[in-house]
Amino acid sequence: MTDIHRKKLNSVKEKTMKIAFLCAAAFSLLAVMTIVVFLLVQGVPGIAKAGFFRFIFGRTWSPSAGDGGEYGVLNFIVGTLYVTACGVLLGGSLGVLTAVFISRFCPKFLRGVFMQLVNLLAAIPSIVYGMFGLVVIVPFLRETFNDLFGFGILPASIVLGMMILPVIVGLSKNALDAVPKSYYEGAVALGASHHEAVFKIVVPAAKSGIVSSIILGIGRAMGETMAVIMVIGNNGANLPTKLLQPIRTLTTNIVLEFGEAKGAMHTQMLIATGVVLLIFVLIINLSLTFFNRDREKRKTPKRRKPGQSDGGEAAR
Amino acid sequence: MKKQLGKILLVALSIALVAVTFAACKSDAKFDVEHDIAVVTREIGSGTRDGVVEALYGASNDANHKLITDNQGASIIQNTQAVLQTVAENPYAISYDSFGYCDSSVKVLEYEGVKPTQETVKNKTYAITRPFVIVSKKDVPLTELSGNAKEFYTFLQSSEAAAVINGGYVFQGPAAPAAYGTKTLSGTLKIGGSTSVGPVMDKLAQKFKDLTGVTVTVAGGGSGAGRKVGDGSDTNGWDFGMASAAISSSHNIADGLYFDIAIDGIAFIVNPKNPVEKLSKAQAGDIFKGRRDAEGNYTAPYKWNDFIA
Repeated sequence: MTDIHRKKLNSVKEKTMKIAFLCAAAFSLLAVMTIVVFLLVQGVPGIAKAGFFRFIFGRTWSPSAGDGGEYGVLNFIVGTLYVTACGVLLGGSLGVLTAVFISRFCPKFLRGVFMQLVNLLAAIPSIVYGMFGLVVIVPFLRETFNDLFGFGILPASIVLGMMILPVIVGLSKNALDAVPKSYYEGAVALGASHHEAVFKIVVPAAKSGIVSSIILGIGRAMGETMAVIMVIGNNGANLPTKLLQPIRTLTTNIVLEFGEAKGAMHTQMLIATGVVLLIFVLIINLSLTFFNRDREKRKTPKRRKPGQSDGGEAAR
Repeated sequence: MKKQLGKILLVALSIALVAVTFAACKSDAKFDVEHDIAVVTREIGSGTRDGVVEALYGASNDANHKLITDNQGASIIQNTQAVLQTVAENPYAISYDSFGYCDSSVKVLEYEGVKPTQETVKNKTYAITRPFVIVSKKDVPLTELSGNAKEFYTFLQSSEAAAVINGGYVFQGPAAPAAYGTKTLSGTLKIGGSTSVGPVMDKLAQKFKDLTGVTVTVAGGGSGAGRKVGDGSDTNGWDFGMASAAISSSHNIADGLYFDIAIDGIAFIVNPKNPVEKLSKAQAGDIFKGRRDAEGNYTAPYKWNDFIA
């Protein structure tokens, strides 16, 4: 083949590949846009009709009330926030500590075993988590706290904590492993013990990766439905005030009522509930972006004149 | 040092596991009659809930359903099987469920002086009965069914189906049903809807497969989802829908599109440890509403000693 012939072929190949990858990326973009447009087109008119403040801050969700029905989702927003917060508290703290253990304290031969076990948690379908919660966790809580049912935020947080554990452990472990060995060795050389070096130098160095993993866990916990619906009691009339009280979240409300939605207004309002969820998820993802941007800025060190102190930047 | 850490961790883990297992198993506590009643109900759209609301409060309309929805002490469980599970392990729970599905893990209560049995459900002396209805697709009346759907319809009226249904429910086909026999067919059918009809439909699907080789998949979703097959709004592609309440004019399903395959009773169930034996209509109505004040606002749940004779 002549040189020119080869060059032309490559250029055609290059262009085709470029277009193929562009199409793949465009497809993802299209998928996201379609869902967002669907939610907004159906949900926003509903919110307008029901009144924005009455929707967000109203406590009564009653589609069959007079005059189109009353649609207030405050109970569900509070429920979602509580369940997500408690779930991430449980899953996040356990997950980060597990990641520290696997990365820095675990004997080498056990490391693979632990990672496999944690990844197994990720493979279990959410309905199985729900059944586990209903059959094991709920009766246990009911007897320990002498509660009426054992349903509520507490079993939901325990189940969610277990579900987001693999996400947090995986990403945090990667962040911890990525910390340069010199940080740890420097600390030990200066006289720190093993756990001092890990908790005071290595973990803070991996801080941004750990926080990213937690934010991802929050996103997962917020949208979880099937596991939560079996252990949370689903009583829409309750504003969550106790850890063990049957309540509803935004996601479980949609699942419970969508099949039986009476009329266009009811369906629109359920989709509007989805819009609220979308906004929450957007806020979380945007905070992740801002957080990462901050971290990128930190990575490029500021220009300094020789001899000027850098205020400890190098150690961070 | 590391080996010691590993050992300590292992020991701690095993202790925790044993503790949890023991705690979960301990249920020798005596039944406390001063305890609040744990009300468990089904979701709106459930045919079982429709039947109970109609029996206790008069009609299955929005206002009466709201009486249970406003009970802040009640929990909602989404299907027949999970309700049984919850009542079987919570000593203070009460709920209602398909009588044909109840087993010895729960205690079935006498309602208005009549204990639900196959006899009392059949001769309607037991007050709360409802039909299991099979609904055909909106533009396919039963007389115009074809292919596997027609075969399944014929099977559901046969003596083989009667034998399956009569073990717990009351067969509603012809009084002297003909045998269906065996045929060699191929293909699949999809049927979905009420989770109360689900268990007996699973058995019927298995029998149909043994006789013909056609695989019938049975899905849940509640009576509301099953009825959508008949009014045209079903999106699951089901060939038939199942509902566990009578079809009324508000469901927009034309006459000739549905038929009854069984009668089922709805039983009030409590945990076997519960000493309660019977309930009257007024008592059951009160329990599921919860205590109300003069204006009808919810105040608190009832306690069991109000209902133990």
